[in-house]
Amino acid sequence: MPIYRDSVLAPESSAGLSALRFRRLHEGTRIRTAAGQPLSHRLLEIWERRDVLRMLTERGLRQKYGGSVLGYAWSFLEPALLITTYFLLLKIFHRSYPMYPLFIGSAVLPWQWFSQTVNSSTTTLRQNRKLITSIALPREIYPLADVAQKSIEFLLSMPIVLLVAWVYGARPSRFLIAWPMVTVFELMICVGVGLLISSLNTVVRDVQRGIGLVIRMMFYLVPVLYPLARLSPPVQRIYSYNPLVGIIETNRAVWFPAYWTGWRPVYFSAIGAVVMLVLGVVVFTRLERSVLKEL
Amino acid sequence: MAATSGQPTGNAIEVKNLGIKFSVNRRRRLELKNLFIQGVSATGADYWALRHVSFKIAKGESVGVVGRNGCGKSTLLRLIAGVMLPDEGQIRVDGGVGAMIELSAGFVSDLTARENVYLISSLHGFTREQTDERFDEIMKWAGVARFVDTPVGHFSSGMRARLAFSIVTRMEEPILLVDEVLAVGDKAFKRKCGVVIDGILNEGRTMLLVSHNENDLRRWCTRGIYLRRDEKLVEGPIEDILDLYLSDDDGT
Repeated sequence: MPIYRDSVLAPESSAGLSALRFRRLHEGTRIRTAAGQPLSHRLLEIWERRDVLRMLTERGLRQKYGGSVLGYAWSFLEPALLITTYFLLLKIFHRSYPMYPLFIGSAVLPWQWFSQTVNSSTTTLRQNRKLITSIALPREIYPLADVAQKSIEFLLSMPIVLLVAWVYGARPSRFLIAWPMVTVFELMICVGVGLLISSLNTVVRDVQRGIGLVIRMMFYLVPVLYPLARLSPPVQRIYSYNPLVGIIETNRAVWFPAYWTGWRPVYFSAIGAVVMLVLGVVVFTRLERSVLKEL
Repeated sequence: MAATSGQPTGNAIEVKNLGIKFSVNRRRRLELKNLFIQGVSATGADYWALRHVSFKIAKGESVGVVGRNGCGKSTLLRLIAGVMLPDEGQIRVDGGVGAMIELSAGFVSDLTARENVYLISSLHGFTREQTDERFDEIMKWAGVARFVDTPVGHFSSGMRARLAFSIVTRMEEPILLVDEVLAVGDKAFKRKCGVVIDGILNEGRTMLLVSHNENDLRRWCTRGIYLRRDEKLVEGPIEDILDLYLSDDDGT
């Protein structure tokens, strides 16, 4: 049994951290076996190194926002341009929905969160190759930092939806209560997918290309540009198996409760969140050994 | 050579029946079926880079590792550092590990020297303030103070090795793994490294040194581990190990 005498939590102060560090250095015994560690120890180890997780997340955010002149404005600009593009496209080719920018904006942001998590997790382990092969840290930290970064970016881009809603004078519906719940579901999906894809992509090279394609196709197969309610009931049923559908529909229902088709898709979001999380953890744990040899 | 008084007791490193295998052709086809049954490494032809390796290293001991190229020295160091995982057996490491493998402390080549120092220090558990205290010293010792804001990718291999050694030795980890650092430096650097290593051993820290230089091994190590390819590992006093290693070398 591995010994974790250093698992006692220290206060976040600088003195506390160095005391924690001292104990980690001089008392922490690590045993690595062919059989691997039980999940509880892995989680504990990640928790112990949350300082690194936070540091890597901050680094990612700084690279994205701090390095550019526009800074935080980028997080506004990106979704704003996206919304404008789809708005114009649909104005030209299609009949529109009332308050269309809000209609798109409320649905496209949760989608972006997911798709950007997928994109960044394809490269995360390879990008941090040098660190991973030199310093012993729980490897999960690298994809988790990516997920954390994308999640914060999602929350930071929320004000644009509020802004658009304010312009239209829209008020949130009772579905606002369900929003935190589906956001947690999406976080679980992102963590699972991040772990799954980061490890899989390191071992199997074709994954990256396939993922790009799947994500692009999937965009049209989730109700971002149109509401689920517009589809025929049998198609709606098929759609609802996709865990993202319930999440996106709930995000939209906060502003457009009229399009709500019921809770069925959200049930599948809950199931999907648990399944993805477990799958991600299992696959990452299984592949870790090979990933480390491959890097 | 290491001070005996006030030394921590017990073993710093215990390796039991250790084995790790790699696949011969690195480009494998992944079968989802195998992935869930046994993990990917089960597919294709494998060879054991290390197998049935067992040894113990006491705290405060300094051990030299010798062997031909490709005998698994770096792999062994990676396993002890915890950046690779064994396929067989177990490793018990008591305390943090500072590893300098392949002349790098984990540098990200497009980050500057300064950014790398802060990044690597924080991964070793140092706070920003603690790194601030050490930063100038690290740079000065490495002799790269002028290139603080130059990407490490632009450094020469000597500069990189100096910086890596400077960082790793100042992380204060009780166990130090050093792979071939002295091979790339010039005379002045080697002398400086010598002073640092003497200091480390006097503090009672544990060191594992991979080197092809017998003088360095004789100077710092009391014990040696000889990794013979496809054969059992031999361990013993450094003199005996070096004799054996050199006579093996002459034989071919």
